[in-house]
Amino acid sequence: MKDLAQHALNVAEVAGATYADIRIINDESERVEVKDGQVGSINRGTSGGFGIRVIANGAWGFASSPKIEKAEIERVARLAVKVAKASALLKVRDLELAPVEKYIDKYVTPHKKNPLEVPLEEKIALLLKTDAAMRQVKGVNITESRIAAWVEDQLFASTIGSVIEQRLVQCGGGYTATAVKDGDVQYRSYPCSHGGQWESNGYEMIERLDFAGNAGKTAEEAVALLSAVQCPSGEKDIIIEGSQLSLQIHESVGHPLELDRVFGSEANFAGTSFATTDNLDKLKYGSDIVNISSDPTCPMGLGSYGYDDEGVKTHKAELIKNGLLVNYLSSRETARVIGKNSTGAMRADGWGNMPIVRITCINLEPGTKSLEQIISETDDGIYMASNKSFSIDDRRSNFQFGTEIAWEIKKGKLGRMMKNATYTGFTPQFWNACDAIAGPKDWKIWGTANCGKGEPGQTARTAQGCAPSRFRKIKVGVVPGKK
Amino acid sequence: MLIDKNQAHDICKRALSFAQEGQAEVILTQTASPLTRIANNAIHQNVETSDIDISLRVDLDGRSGRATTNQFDDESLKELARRSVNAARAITSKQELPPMMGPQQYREIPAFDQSSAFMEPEQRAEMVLKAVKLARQEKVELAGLVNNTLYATAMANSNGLFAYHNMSTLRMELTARSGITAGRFAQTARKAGEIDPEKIAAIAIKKCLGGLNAKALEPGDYTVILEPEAVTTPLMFLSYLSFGALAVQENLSCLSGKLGQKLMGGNITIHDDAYHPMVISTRPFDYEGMPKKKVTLIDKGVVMGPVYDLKTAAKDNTGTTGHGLPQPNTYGPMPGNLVLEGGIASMEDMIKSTKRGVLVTRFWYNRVVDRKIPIITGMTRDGTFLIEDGRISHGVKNMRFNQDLVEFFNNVETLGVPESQENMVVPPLKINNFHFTGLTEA
Repeated sequence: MKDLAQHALNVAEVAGATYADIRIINDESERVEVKDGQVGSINRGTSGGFGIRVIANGAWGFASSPKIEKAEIERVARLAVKVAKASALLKVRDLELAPVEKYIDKYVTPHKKNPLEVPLEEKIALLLKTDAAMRQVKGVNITESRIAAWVEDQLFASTIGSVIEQRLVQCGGGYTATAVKDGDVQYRSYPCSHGGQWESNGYEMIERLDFAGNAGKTAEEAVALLSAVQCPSGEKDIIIEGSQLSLQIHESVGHPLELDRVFGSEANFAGTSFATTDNLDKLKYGSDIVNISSDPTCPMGLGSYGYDDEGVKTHKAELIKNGLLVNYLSSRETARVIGKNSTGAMRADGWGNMPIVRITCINLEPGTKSLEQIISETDDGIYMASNKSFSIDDRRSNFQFGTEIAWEIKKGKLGRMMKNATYTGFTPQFWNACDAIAGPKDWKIWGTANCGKGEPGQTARTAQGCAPSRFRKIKVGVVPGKK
Repeated sequence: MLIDKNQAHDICKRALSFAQEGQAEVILTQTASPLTRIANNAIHQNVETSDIDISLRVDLDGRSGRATTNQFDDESLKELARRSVNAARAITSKQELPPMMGPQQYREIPAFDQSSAFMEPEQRAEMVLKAVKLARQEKVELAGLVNNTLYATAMANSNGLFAYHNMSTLRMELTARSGITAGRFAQTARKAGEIDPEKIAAIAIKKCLGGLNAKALEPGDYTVILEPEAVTTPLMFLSYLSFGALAVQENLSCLSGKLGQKLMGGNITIHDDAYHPMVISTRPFDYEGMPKKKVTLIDKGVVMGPVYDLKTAAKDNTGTTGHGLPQPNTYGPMPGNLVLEGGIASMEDMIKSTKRGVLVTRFWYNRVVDRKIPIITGMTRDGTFLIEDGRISHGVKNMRFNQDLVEFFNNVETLGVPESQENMVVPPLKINNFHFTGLTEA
């Protein structure tokens, strides 16, 4: 395979490429779903192919194919150069890339049990047991659960001389109970919504989650939500639970700090960013206690890996330091423009797509207090948990989130359960309203398995680490609920 | 290279031949989608991609397993069959599975054109160059894409069913930008010659320049005029939240319990019609190999019924409408080609008749807030304007909405002339009491 990769680079250079890289990939995946006491579906997938990215005449070209054969690799390498030359017909300047070292290396996601080698029977049994526990709760109408896994074997080679082999192992799952009554539909998910928890990890992460042990409580909460009070409208201090805060970080820190969208590359689709580069080292993005970094070296983070898809070795990079914007998620091309090195955030969805800047594993550093302490120090607030809806404008400023469940906080104590909780705000104002972050005991990395960006559309698996945090005077209850 | 009917038949036949137990079904999908992407008046991504997906379902005595691959040599197809069978065997209790049907008759839908299926990167660059030339003259920056796509889909099963369809499209989208102001226009066609880069650029640029120095509008209830691209948003949400039979059966749909009742305004008639001459992205069969039927979902505001697949149809003691997804699945059937009947009003007529309102080009980041009602939220984007006294007076900053979709389709005052929007056909709409709940700075 390495010989084929080297041959592709040679053919590209002969055809006129001044830089080339190739990724030869085999993706294996599996998804098992159970719904209402039956196996809903099982799908075992495999997808193999290669993508060649080149610079010719100072512009990018990319071509890919599922057929990993010498003649096809030659055709696709030449096609990538032809595409680059067509790109060069409309360029502002020749591409320049931040430097990268040459690496000959191998990386494997730390894991114990390859999730694809765990028998299907075991996964099905666990999901059926979980489903049965949910369905024992009176008032639950629909029960759904799933386990999914991905194992990607990748060979990267570039004309810089790097040859990097990676095996990325990822898996996760979760479940949802739905209760329906009198036109009201309420959900509860475990351990969080959007399919569950996802990690770069082996099957041991599924075993750790104790699916069946949490099923009854999850289902009971779904039913209880039907008779819970509506989230009120007004300004409140809110404490946001970890998985919900993870999505908040994803949407209002991760995406606005992708340097390609800052430079307008996503203007036609995913949008741009309010955090333009004139704000670098100037914008008070959050309060003094807000420290956020990109760290794809983090164990278990779904957005963790050894090298990005242009051969940059992963490392920790501070993005927001003591509330100040100090860096972006970047690629070699975009980092060069701001005079920095790449943060190693360039990733592609499989072999058939050109890498773009993606959220990696971005972490809000933990604070010092416990969640219990933060709640006890909140006089009049709401504790919101598990995402139900999320929307943010195309400059990543105005957002609105809804959560599956919330609880009133009165005089330092959790009180009544609330349904249809929503909150809204503007990104920098919101993060500047953060006055408490829970400590390491409550800190966790949450995975996002379906982050969309790019044209053609690409899906990335990302992660955000955080602990529950408090935000002062946030507008809540923005959507009129059912009477 | 397009996989033609004979080649598809051969691959399907070989895949089925390796599944030597139970019943088997294969779905083959070929996609080639070269795309030239621009930003800041330059090409910044340019890709030539293609792939084939072969998905094999094996049913063994009421237990179903599926496996997929993108390789179609004999060894890969044998492994595909082995994995499908193993998946089915792993299931210990029987599933409620729809049957695999025998041969069906399909209507021909001519949806393939060489001019959009096969384009050179230089041809796409030439289209972009024409647009950027205009943008430079007007001192704005263009972002966007030119994307020519070829699809082929084939289905076969061990009961002798075989279906094949191919289609191609060319899409050009342009977003003109000046500072934080943007304007957009997009078009899709089957024939490359029907896409006019200069026209698309001119509209996007006009919107951008017309929106400069946008003013903030107080959130509240407004009369809105939605361009066709904006109208696809509420329909797309109804499509997957409400118009499928499983959602209705599970009591999750706004149609649940409302069959034969008036739910929407008397001026609202919605069909699913894969054969409508203005639908561009279409196919005459579903993922169970069943012929798609034209289905009237809402007739003059009255609920006529959802779309069905074989499983949900059996439960309601009716026939499938040909809207199934690959089986078994947990989502149920969904419409694929919604057609909202329109009227005769032009956009200009609607603007002239509006004392005060908001013109919306499109919505963005739309998400479900309430599953059943349903309520969705999102933002306006790429061209939002205030209308005063029958004319566009100025651009307004983008606004957040939270909107009950049934209420939305009860508040439609005027329907314009329908336009093609890839897989849908929709008119522009004038709607009263649309709920804007927040705004942003751009």
